[in-house]
Amino acid sequence: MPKKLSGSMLLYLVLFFLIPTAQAHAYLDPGSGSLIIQALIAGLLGLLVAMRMFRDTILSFLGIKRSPPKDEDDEHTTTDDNLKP
Amino acid sequence: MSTPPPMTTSNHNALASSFRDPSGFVFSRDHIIYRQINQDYARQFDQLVDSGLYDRLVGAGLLIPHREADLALAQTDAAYRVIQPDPVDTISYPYEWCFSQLQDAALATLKIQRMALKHGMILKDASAYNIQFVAGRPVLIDTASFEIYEEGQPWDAYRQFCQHFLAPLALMAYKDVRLGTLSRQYIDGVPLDLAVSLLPKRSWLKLGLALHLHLHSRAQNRYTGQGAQQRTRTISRQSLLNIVDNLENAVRSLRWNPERTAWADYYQGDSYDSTGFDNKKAIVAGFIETVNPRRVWDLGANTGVFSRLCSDRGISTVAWDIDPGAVEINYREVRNRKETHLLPLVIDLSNPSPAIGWANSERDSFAARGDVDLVLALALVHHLAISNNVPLARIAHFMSTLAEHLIIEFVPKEDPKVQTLLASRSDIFPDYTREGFEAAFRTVFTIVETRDVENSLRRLYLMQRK
Repeated sequence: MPKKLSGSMLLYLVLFFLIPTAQAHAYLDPGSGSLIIQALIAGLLGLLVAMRMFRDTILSFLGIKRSPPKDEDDEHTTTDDNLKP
Repeated sequence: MSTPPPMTTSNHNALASSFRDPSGFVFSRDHIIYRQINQDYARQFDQLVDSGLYDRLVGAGLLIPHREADLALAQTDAAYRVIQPDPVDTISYPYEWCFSQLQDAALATLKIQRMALKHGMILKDASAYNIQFVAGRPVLIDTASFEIYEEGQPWDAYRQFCQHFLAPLALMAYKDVRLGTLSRQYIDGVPLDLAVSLLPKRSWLKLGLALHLHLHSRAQNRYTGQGAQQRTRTISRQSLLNIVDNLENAVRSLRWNPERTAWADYYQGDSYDSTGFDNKKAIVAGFIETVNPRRVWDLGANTGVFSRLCSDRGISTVAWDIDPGAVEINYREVRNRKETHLLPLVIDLSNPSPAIGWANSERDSFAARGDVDLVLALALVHHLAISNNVPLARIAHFMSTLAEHLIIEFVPKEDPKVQTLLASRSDIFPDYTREGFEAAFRTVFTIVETRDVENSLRRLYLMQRK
């Protein structure tokens, strides 16, 4: 008997049905729930990234400069910004 | 009763930990570690090399380098290649890592995944046991961990990443650093529902934790046992990269700083003044020169002051300590100074890592990984003998199983530190004397040399196993 859906889960479920299907393979059990949440999170992050780009476009249109996006191939080791001797 | 089909993909010479992945397995021959790559994995292995991914990862210090070995070494007829990866000095496990080691291992895994995706490949697993510390840095040792990426496929190893890395890190940062040892109980990482039940409500405030732990756990519970085939949806490569970015932000945002514990203040205090301390260092350094070891274990190493007497001389050293805070401080220094011969690890010597996993054979016990040339046991024996009630003879025997040579410090009852230990309990240790100590250790060791530490009541011994 499925549990009652909360408001946020309802939103995610709507997003979920907008995404098409594909195969998964490899020796590891990916976990059905994990695949589902991954797809939902992918959708959500895509939305957030789009929103951020939209915001940056508006801001640059208004003449407010934004710092450039982080280089994904950044190979520097973990910084010790949380280091207290 | 029919005979079972022959195992063509793995083999009885395979390491007890190497059996899940049909792409190949790790085996040992004449004390050298090899990895057999099976025919089934030929395409992927070639792509790893041809795409340039191997060179990039090795160049970045993220993947263990290997050289081609003689195919005749292959253990089964399913072999495509046999490779010989660079050896790892000391195998360690995530439940022995301090917070920053686990965090760095997580970040390395994500970096590797990102690079893989950019070269048309993807990590098929994201197990913390695929990472080992080599020359002080986290490195992927499973060369066969890469699958060919097909646009649209989800990341199968996502669940494993969350359980092996994100969940324990969040528990250590939000709840208690000692939860790092929880992964010893669960061979495939901390179950998400357990992690989530322990995390405080404020962990929901971090988007990364809310998504990858809390909601992930709910999704797992909701969809248990339902066929993955009907449920999978296409996820673009960009989405996978977004997820990697988001996981990286989540991992980086977790912080843990050691508090001032009793151990952190250990070197302050009244067991010896700075003259005594310098004298102790000189004596220990002299003993080390005499032994001239290749591999050293420093037990109860604290922040590694004496471990560095070895590692700074280019000797491969492991600095074991019970306090995750001390190991954390030690590891941060290794990282800052880019030290290559020191590995700090967490261990409770009164309950060291057991052998775990399938048939209790997948992950080796603490002692099984021993057999080093030299053990340092400085400012330690009173904690084992008095705080833990372990008889001196048993301590001696245990030490003798770990190394041929021993540098050990006897801390007598009159010493302020032992006085502290005895302060709140009755003294039931009549044999805990210099004579009793020497007699106990002479059952398994020869005392080669002994020196008193200046301005203190302590005595240092150099011993050799009989």
